[in-house]
Amino acid sequence: MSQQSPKVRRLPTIRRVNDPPTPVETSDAELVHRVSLGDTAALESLYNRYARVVFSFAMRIVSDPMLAEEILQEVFVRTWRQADRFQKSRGNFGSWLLSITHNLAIDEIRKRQRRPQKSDSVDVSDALFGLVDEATNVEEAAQAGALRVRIKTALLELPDAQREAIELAFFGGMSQREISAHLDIPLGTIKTRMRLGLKKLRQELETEHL
Amino acid sequence: MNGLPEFPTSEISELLAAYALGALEPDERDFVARNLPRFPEWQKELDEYRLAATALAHAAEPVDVPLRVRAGVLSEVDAIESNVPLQRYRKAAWNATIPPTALPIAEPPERRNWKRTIPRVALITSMPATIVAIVFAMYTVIIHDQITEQQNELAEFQQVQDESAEVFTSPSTERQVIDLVASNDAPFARGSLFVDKSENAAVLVARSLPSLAESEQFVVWVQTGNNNEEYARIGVLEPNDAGTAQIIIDPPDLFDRYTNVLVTRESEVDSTSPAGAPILSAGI
Repeated sequence: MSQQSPKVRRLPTIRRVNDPPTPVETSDAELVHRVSLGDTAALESLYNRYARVVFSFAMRIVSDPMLAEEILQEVFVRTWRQADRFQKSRGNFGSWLLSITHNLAIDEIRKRQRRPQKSDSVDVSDALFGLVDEATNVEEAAQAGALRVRIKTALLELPDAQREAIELAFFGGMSQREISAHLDIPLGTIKTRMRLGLKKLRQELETEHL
Repeated sequence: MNGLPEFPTSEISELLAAYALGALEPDERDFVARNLPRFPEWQKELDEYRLAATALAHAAEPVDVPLRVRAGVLSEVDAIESNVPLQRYRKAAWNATIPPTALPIAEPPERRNWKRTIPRVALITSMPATIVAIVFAMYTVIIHDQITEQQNELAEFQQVQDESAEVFTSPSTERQVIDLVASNDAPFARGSLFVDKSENAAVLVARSLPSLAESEQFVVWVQTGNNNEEYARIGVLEPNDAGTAQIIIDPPDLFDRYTNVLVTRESEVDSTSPAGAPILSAGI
């Protein structure tokens, strides 16, 4: 047996969600500011708030739990590295985080289209049988369920053709040209559907005060 | 003049909407990105589209987040801050938290020697009803056994999950990750020990474990003193097909009393001290 001394890394302090170090009402912007100063507890508060929606969103796009975990980890590592770049004027933190998630997930599915699939990928049920991070559930469940219903309702208000174009682009990672070819519909029609659909969705969300 | 080709407003809007959805070709995307800073009105419109687009993310069906990702994020953040090159935790942790017992496989029921207990005539005359009754009874027994077995497995799994969650999320300032060292007998084995001394608990995750003979098992021990005085047997690591396993370490005494953790390959099922080849070890 090799008797080297073990490498020890001390982890940052972790606190329970039930006994948060930072008040629950602390704004995202404030937490991001603290993250930019090196506060890992603030990063964890943001993680508790957003990990589940980020993971679910990544799963929706990549349909691969291992890849979704990788994306989730990368999103929060980027948050740690780039917190000082976050500009409130560009939208709220949630939107910023989900934009990063979207970009990473779309990059992954485009990469996957270009390369052969890994033969050692793990079954979805296997990866999901891992231990569940209940802290993210507690934090997220407070608002997310209602929000999800309202956004789905707004999405259902769109004409089917507009919703389809938006979903193929946003969740499927397809470009306008690819959607046009996929649906065998003129490119101009797809462009119009996307614009009108997104505009209408924004209006619907505004009426829902989202 | 703004130096751009003349675009109808609707065409700009289409570009911006598609940009927010990530649906532009690379050249179009570059065009928008390059010109956005010059046109605040584009940026404003894009922000509106982005808000709508990112709201869609919330429509995804919720999926539980595996606990290992939190550990991965924190380890990586820690490594960034310490300037320690660290292989992504997730690469080490795939399958790490899948208990081999998570998906129970029902054993086939034992055959019963019912022929001896039933008179031949009665058997013949009541054959159809008997067969139906027996099949039904066996089916009921199988289902009942399966349900009981699955409930037991789920209860065990839940317990492991609760204990691991306790270790990972406890409000401690005494949490450490200790890398285990592989022995020459298992040079490809890797492992980490997540210790929380304030909770007096730890999770040992091992991967790339070598294959075992049928009668062998991996046993986890903690050791006291510097002269191999005493070992406490923690339990058996049950690797999955990928050679990955984990175990909660809830030692009989305070962690501070122990100096080492050890994984050995044992052929004695109930061994009380390590006799087999060491696989992984570390000082605590």
